[in-house]
Amino acid sequence: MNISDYRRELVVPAIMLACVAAYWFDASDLSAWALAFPAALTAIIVIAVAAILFQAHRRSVHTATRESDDPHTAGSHGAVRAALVIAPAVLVAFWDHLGATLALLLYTGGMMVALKERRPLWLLAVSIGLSVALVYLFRGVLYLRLPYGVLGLG
Amino acid sequence: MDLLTNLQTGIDAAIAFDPIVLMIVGSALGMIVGATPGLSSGMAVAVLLPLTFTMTPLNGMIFLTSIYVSVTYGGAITAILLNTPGAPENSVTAFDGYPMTQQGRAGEAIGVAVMSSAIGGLLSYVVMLVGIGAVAAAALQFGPAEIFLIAIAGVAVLGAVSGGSLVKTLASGAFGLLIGTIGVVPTGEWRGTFDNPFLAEGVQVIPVLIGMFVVSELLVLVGRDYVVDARVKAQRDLGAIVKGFRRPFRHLATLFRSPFLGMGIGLIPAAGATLAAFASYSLTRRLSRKLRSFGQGNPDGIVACESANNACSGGALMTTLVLGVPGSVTTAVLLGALTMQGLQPGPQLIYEQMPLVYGLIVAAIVSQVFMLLMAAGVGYGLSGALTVPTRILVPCLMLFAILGAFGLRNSEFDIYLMLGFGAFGYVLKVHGYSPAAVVMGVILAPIADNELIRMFQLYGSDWYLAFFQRPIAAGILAVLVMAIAHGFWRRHSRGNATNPGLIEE
Repeated sequence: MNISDYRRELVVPAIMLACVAAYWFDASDLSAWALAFPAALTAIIVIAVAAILFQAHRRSVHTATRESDDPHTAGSHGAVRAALVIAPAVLVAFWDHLGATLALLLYTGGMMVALKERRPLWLLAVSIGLSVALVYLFRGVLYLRLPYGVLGLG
Repeated sequence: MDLLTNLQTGIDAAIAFDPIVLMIVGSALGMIVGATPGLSSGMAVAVLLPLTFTMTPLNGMIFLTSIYVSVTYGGAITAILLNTPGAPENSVTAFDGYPMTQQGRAGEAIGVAVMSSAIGGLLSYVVMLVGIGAVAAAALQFGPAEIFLIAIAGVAVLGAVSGGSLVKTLASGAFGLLIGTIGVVPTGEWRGTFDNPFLAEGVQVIPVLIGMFVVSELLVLVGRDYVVDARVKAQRDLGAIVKGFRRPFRHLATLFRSPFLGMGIGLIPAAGATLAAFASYSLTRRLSRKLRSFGQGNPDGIVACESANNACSGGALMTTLVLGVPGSVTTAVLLGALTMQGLQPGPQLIYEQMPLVYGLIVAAIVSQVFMLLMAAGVGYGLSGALTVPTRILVPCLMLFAILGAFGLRNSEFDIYLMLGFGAFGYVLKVHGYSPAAVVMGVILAPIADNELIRMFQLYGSDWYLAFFQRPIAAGILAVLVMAIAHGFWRRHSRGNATNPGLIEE
C-alpha cells in the first residue's frame, strides 16, 4: 500500500467522523436517556475507525506499492458518476418550472449521451418513451403529485 | 386444526385474480433480475417497491416476496451457463454447474438447480406455515433486553459472516445505527434533526434502501459498457432441463437436509442465503463418498446449494415478520415495505394480521410452481445471447429510483436523501465497507433505541443486569459475543484474507 492508498483509506472514516460530529453538535444538550445509545454507538465508531486506520498504517509500512488504476479512465468514469448523482439533484430543484416529464427527459437523454449512447433514434425513443411512460405510471396509477411546470407541459 | 384454519385463511386471501397476477409478474421480474449479474435481489425489491404504494398490504407484499424468492432461481441460470452468478447466493452453484455446462450438460444442470430450488422453497414455506404461530408465541415472551439484543445481532452477525473486513462492517453497522437514531426520541426530544421537519419521523428507510441498493449499484455499473455480454455456447435443450428435474430425487438425503439447514441459517438475523449455500455445500461435500467429484460437475453440489439458498428465504421472512428484525438484506427491504404500509412487524402481527401473514406464506408456496415453469423457460431462452447495455439500463433504473423516492411523501427532500445515500453507498463499496450493514443499522436503530429506553424505565440504574438475569437474553448475548469473536478469529487465522463470496449484499 502506497501513500495514496493510505489517503484513500481515510475517506470513509473522515465522512463518518464528520457526520458524527454534526450529529453531536445538534444533539449534545439532550437528556441522558436520549443520548445513551448514540454515545455507545459513537464509541464503537471511533474505536472501529482507529482500528481501520491502524491496520491501514501497518499495511502501508509492510506492503509494496501497488499499480493504480488507469487515471484517464478513472477520471472519465468519475465525471459520469458525479453527473449521475448531481444532475437529478439539479433538475429536481428546477422541475417545478420545467415540469417532471421534461426534467426527466433531459436527464435520461443526457445520461445516455454521457454513457456513450450515440444512436439518435435510440436516444430519442428511450428518453421520450421512458420519461412519458414513467411519469404517466407514477402520476396516473400511483397518484404522485409530480409538477407540471410553468408551461403545463407535464 | 389450527393449521388447517390458518391454511384456509391464507388460501382465501392469496388465491384470487390480483394476487396470482402479481405472483406471476413478480416471479418473472425476479427471474430476469436474478439472471442479470450485478443486479441483486435487494436492488430489485428496492427499485420496484414504489409500485406497491397504492396496492393493498397483502398484494404489495406478495409482489415483492415473489421477486425476492425468484431471484435465486434466475441467479442459478447464469451461474451455470456463464460461470457468473446472477446473485451472490448462487456463487456456489457455479462450482459444479459450470463444469456441467462445459461437459455439455447445461440443460440438466439448470433442471437440477430449478427443481432443487423449488423443493427447498416449498419445504421452507410449509415449515413456516406450520411453525410461525409457535415462534410468534415464543417471541411474545421476549422483553426489551431480548429484542434489543436481537436488533443489535442483526448488524453484528452481518459483520461476523460477511467476507469483508469485520471492523469495517461493524463500523458501517454502528454508523447506520447512529443515522437511524435521528428523529423524535420516545422521550419527546428532537435528536440530530437540525430542526428539519422531514427528519422528525427519522431518516426514512425507503430513500436509504433505494440509495444504498440501487443508486450505489448503478454507480458501480457506470464503469462497464454492458452489465453482462455473453454468447452462451450451451445447446438449447428443453428435454435436458426436464430430465434435470428428476435428478435431485436421486440425492434425497441432500435434498431434504439442505433446506432445513438453509432455513435454520435464514432464521439468524442477517445471516443470509449466501452463507446458507456455502454451509450446505460444505456439509454435503464432507458427508459425500465422492469428495473429489465436487467442483467437477457433481449434481449433488447444485442440489445442496440451490435447495439451501432458496429455503433460506422462508427462515429470513419468518424472522422478519415475527421479530421485526430482517433475516437478510432483502428482507430488510420487505420490512421497509411493511412499515410503509402502516404495519408493525412483531409477534402481534401474526395474530392481528392473519390473512396477510398466511396469505403471504400460501402465495410463496404457490409461486414456487410458477417459478418452476418460468425458470425452465428462462433457462431455455438464455441458452443463446445475453446482452444488457448499461447506457440503457442505468438511466432507466435511475428514473425509477428518483420517482420511487419522491413517491414516498411527494417530497423532493427524499430524492436528495436517496442521492446522498447512493453516493455514500458507492464510496463505502469502493473502500470495502458494507452498505448492507448501514441499511440494517438504519432499520434496526429505532427498535434497539426504543427497547433500551424501555429497559431504563423498567430497571432504572440496574438496567444492564437484565442482560444477565434473563436466561434468553443471556443466551442471545453469549451467541452474539461468540459470533463476533469467531469472526475475528476466522480472519486472524486466515491472515486477514477475505472471502468475497460470503458477502451478502
